[in-house]
Amino acid sequence: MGFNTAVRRDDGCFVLEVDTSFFCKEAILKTAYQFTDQCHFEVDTAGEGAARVAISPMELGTDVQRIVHEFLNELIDQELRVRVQRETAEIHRLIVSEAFAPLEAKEGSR
Amino acid sequence: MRQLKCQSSGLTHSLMGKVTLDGMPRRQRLDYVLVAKPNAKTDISGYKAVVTDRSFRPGFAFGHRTPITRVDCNLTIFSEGDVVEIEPGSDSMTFFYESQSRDNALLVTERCNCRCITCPQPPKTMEESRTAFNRELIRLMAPGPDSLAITGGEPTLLGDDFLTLLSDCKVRLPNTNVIILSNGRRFKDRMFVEQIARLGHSRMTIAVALYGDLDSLHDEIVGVKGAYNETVRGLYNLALYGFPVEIRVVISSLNYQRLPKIVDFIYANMPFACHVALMGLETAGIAAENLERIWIDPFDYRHELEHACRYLSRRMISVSIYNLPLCVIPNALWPVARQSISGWKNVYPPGCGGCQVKKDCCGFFASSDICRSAHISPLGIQAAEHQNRFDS
Amino acid sequence: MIMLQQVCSGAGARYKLLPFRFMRFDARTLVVNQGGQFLVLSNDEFDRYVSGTLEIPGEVFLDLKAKHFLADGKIDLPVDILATEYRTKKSFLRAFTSLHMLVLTVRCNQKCKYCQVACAKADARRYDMQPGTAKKAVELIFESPSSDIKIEFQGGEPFLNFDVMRAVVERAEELNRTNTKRLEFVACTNLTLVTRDHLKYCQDHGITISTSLDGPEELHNRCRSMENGEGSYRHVMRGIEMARDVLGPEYVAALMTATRFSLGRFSDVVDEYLANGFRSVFFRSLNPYGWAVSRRCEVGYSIGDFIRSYKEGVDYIIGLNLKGESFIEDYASIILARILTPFGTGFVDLQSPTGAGIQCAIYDYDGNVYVSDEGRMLGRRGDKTFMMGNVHQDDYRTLFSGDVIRQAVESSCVECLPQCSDCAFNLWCGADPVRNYATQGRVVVHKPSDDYCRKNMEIIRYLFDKALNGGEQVQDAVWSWITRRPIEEVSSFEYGGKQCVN
Repeated sequence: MGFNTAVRRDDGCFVLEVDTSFFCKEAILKTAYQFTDQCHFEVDTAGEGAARVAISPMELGTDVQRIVHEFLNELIDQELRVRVQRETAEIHRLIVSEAFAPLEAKEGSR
Repeated sequence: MRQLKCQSSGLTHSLMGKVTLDGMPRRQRLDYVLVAKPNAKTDISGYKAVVTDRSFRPGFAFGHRTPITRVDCNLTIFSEGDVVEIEPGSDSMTFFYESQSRDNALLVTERCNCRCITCPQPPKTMEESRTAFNRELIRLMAPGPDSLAITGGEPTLLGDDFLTLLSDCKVRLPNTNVIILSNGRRFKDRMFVEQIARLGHSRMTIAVALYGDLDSLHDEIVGVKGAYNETVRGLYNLALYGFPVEIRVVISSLNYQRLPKIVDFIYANMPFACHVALMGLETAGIAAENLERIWIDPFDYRHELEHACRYLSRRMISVSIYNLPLCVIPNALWPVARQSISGWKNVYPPGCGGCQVKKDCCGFFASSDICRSAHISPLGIQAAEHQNRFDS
Repeated sequence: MIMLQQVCSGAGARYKLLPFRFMRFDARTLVVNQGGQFLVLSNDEFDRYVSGTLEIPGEVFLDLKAKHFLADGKIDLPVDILATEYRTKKSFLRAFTSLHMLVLTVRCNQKCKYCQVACAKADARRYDMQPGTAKKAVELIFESPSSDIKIEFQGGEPFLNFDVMRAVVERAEELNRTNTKRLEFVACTNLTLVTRDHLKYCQDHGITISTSLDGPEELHNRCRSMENGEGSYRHVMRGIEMARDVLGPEYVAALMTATRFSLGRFSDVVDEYLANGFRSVFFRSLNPYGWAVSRRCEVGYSIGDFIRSYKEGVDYIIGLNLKGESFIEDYASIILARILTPFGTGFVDLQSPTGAGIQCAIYDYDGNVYVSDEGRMLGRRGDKTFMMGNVHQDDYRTLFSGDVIRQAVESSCVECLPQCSDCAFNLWCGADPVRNYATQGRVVVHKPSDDYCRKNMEIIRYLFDKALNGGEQVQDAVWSWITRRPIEEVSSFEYGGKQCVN
């Protein structure tokens, strides 16, 4: 759910289509970033509501299949992070501003 | 407070005075009560009263103006500097200050803004002000003990009177360490905390009761919704003004399971606390009424207690166990078990006969005879040796 | 495969999520919040937490609430608490620059294989800091708002320019008569040419000694030799003994630099330290600058190898602790203090924002001021990116609130760096833009290929696991490090509470 099975191309690259109603662009890019020491990534739209992710190895012998599996697991976690951050953004902002606000700016007595 | 039966003559209303055993020069006698066995040669004029024992026979032609009070017991219980109040109406004498005791307290009010189900003394809703009385007591106490507790009820309810009493302590008892026992709620008002800070009392510790790491738990025990929020804010305000803060946790069946998490909470959220006291129940008053809800044999929470003590000790937060006898707590924790029950309050029930470590054990509350641990037992030579090893 | 949960939100939710970061950890999930509080949950508990379906009031719900991961009522108190805790974690920022390093000379009487300093021969005096430069530097140092000032003498070998060391100390003491800062001096010396008179001066003025001891004699001598190629060990030992004798052992500290030769032998290093009366060691990895880069084949190693040795070394020390021998690994004690205490720890090599400039500054022999030693190394090679200015040309304001510091700070807040911002460890970690620039040519590094990140993450994870799962005795050992007490004191109750009244 959320993505189709990765298809292996002739050039050793794996191509994945991700449903962007499930996974936002930010999550996809953050996930890809994590693997950019081992693989090259090409991310673009694949029509309405989908993104195409092409994963190709940086070096010969890289186990891209394994990376695809890790990518998919990590994608779920990154999407979760984005959703949690959206949900808690306002409170986060309050915490940070309260942490560094000078005393005079706060209420006189609580 | 210690109380004695007595009979007074020449006394129409209560008086409070400072005890002298050796006598004072004439011009300095105004505040003093002479405790002695006077004879014809003793000059007793000018004292507020004379306290003596049954051996005194009236008939000596003394200065009749000086009231005489006779007590049933040995005069050796009086110490120089004690402050006593003699009440002829009820034929009683109360010690409001005992110079030789470690456990002096100033009861400033019996009103309280909490209804803790573990409370051993039911609060009053209305009372006459005790401030004038306490101001006089502070004056007579001077130079004062090493430490003095300010207690109640809830002392901070007195507002300006609270500040006045602290100011008196600073001026008249400059070498006395004052410890304020509070539920902490009123310290949520930062301006109030600032007022206390402005008094400039440099020997003040504030002990705040915290029963849980959650509002649901703490509020349930103190009987006031929202108390936890106020107390935590109060603790933060106290820290902001640099007051030494102590946190007291009374352990009951409602919170013993979370005790390790409660001390973790204290460390993570109030690392400024200089001392944590883990306290056993005094099953009197409101606590007695709620016994079924709150009672747990301390022996049954010994693991949580040990875990909590080790936790704090590792982190260099001073910890004490109050009100638990040595036989019901693990040996390893004996170094932190304190003599916490005031001399006049504590007893050793018959089950303690022959115990070798009595002198180091706080014993039991006289008031708590309705319910005590099932594991009380006198400890033998080995345990005493164990204790001696700590002493040396 | 992990299933994606709906995040609980909206009016129907039974509780509100408070901000947190998470990391998958050995088939469980670690959650950490802005206050540094953490919990390890089962994956199932984590899913229920995030989706709003926790059993209320179950144990997990209560634990998460007590640690401010969720709120079922008003949020103003949890927000205040988390803000206070976050501020506490960053409290090292308050003082501003407190560590000031003076490079008294780049001359040295040793030729250590991994040395960062492009050092000059022992007699090339034009590489000495001149008295006028030193005086200007000290005056600038005293303009720092920090109430703690630590002046560290570095080099080359600082005692080769002892006259200027003296001048600095005297000027600093003179200025401090009207300043009342807490003033400390440290001399980072190889101890091979100090005399008794030098040390007496140190004793009189409270200068503590920090020296290098890489391990037992043959190991130490592999990389640390005198100018003539002879191993320096015997000279160092003589210096240590004399320093201890004059100053007292508490004022003589040692650290080691790990090389290929010491990998797998950290226990030998610990034994050497113990035998020589030291109570702690810092397992330092090689910095990727200076000579070390060009000599990488000879002395260098992969970060994976270092991490493996590091863990072995720490395990060995813990083993000693459990037998009653008190000994500390300094790097671990800093990380553990960050994880297990609510307090902030300033440690210039690993903090966010970086310590470069705002916590420490280094004054080169020619008066150039850099944000860190690494910045100075770049400067020597002609890259002045991290040069704040020069003591002869610039005033305090220009030096300490200029663009160089600003850029360093802006590029090193973990809250704003890729991957760091989501990392559950970020409150315990840091960023080093100077190192990034030196190794990858840019201040914000490519995280997945960053050795520094890999090292920190693995070590933090390893220490975290030790602290949580090591058992009661390991807890005692860990806390003996954090509180710097003998282990038997930690496991007893050595201090008392007050007497009380009910």
